[in-house]
Amino acid sequence: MIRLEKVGYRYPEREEAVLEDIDLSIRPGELVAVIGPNGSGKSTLAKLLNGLILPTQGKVTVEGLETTAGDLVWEVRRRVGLILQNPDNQMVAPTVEDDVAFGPENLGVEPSEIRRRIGQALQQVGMSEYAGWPPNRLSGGQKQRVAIAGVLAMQPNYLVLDEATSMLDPTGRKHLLTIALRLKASGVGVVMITHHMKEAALADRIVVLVNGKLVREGTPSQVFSASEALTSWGLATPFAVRVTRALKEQGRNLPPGILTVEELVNAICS
Amino acid sequence: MLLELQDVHFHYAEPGANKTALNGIDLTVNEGDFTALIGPSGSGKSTLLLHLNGLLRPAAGHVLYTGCDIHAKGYDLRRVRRNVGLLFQFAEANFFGQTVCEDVSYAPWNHGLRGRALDQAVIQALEMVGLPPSVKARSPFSLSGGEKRKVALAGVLAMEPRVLLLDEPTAGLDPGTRENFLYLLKDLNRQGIAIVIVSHDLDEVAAVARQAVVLKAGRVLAKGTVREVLTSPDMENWDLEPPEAVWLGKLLGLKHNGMPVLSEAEAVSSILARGK
Repeated sequence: MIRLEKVGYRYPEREEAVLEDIDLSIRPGELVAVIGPNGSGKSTLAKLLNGLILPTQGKVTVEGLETTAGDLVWEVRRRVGLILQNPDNQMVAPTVEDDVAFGPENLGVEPSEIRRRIGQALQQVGMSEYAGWPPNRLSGGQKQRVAIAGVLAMQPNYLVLDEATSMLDPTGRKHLLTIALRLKASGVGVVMITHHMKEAALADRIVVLVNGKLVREGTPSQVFSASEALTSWGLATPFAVRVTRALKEQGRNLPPGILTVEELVNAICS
Repeated sequence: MLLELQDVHFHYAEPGANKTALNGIDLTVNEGDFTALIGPSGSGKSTLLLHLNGLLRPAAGHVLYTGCDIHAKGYDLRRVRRNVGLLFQFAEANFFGQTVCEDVSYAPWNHGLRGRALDQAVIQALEMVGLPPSVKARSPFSLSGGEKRKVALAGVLAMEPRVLLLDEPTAGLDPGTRENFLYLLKDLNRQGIAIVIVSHDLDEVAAVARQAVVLKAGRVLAKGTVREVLTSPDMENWDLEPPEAVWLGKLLGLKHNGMPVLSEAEAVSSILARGK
């Protein structure tokens, strides 16, 4: 389990805290979506989860290891894979396969095992044929898939996706969501930070961050039922929720809990 | 006609692979257009944008700006660069200045603008994106995500371009900020700036663009009005996912003025009308 207890974060020389008093647990095999307007502290939260930055208040523990303890930070990062929004910030090597190898090499994984993992990870993200390419010649979405392969090759117990789908096309996005759901089914805890409410609707739980505070937590149906609050925070509800609401306002009788277009169609046609 | 691509070919030379990025593209951008380039990852959309302002040179074919081949001997490419502005993906990652002013004035300064005229250009560009002149003195890194994106756009607008090329301009923005940014783009287009936008978000394309061009493997597979393209039964063959309103419309057979529905509002009114 990843556990945040009364976690706060303040950048040096800044008065205002980016995150304040966050209590949150991520369990194995769980998909948690984090939504919030730009500047709400979502990315800071992502970096706290794998010890990329350390809390200035409270504590973060990953399977019992506190992220503040210096030597353990690599142990934490091995367990918690982090994918950032802009893959340009995490491409380090001259070729795609070197880039994927970077993580496992740093962990001291056997070369033959590394080769196996590279092949598997690139296949999982559909980038096998680009193994020898320089990353700077790939499209944004392709780079993102390579970055994801790099994290998969580390075989983490937790995966944190910080708006990782924002550079992907719909096929790539579906692909990544499928990978995330598959990892979840195999017991990996997945944290998905997203601006896409449709993606958040797939989660077991949604956490809403506003101005560095955790303001809501619940199932997608619970969170998306508060559409005024979400709009006032610069967020939105998924398309199917908006349409359902508009139809209900015009007197249509529809059941509660509709989150997807398919559910809406079933409700209308039944 | 402002810009025209004639049978443009381009390939990135790679070790062990010869991937064709553009494979005979014909495209025109007219005054007042708001065109979306859509297609799966790696289909050549960004490469095409880089040809439209002369950053890449086609291996074969021609790029014309106001009727002239921009790669002809003696043609001053700066003319295209000044008039055809490009906003890169996550453009704010390229901020370098201590102040917003340094970032916004960079391009016009490079093109020879000085003194009062430069100052005016910066203030006007900030105004066009809805930011007050006082923002000039602030560090660009202290701004919110939406403001940073707007400052990056102001840096392009400071050149007073006639065409704006936008590569995934709303990626990473929250829903409220995104809506605000899209409204800004529509407004710029109404003021007479032709816009070519690359976007994976077809809900967004449906909301702002008028024309759509489908690219796949470096070829134009289809072009037409946004409604024609996004409601086409071929969307799946193009590896594209229709906007959710179109998908809902398709499942329920919804029509708006006899045409397949494109927007949320059309879908809602069509469902309500049908029920009566």
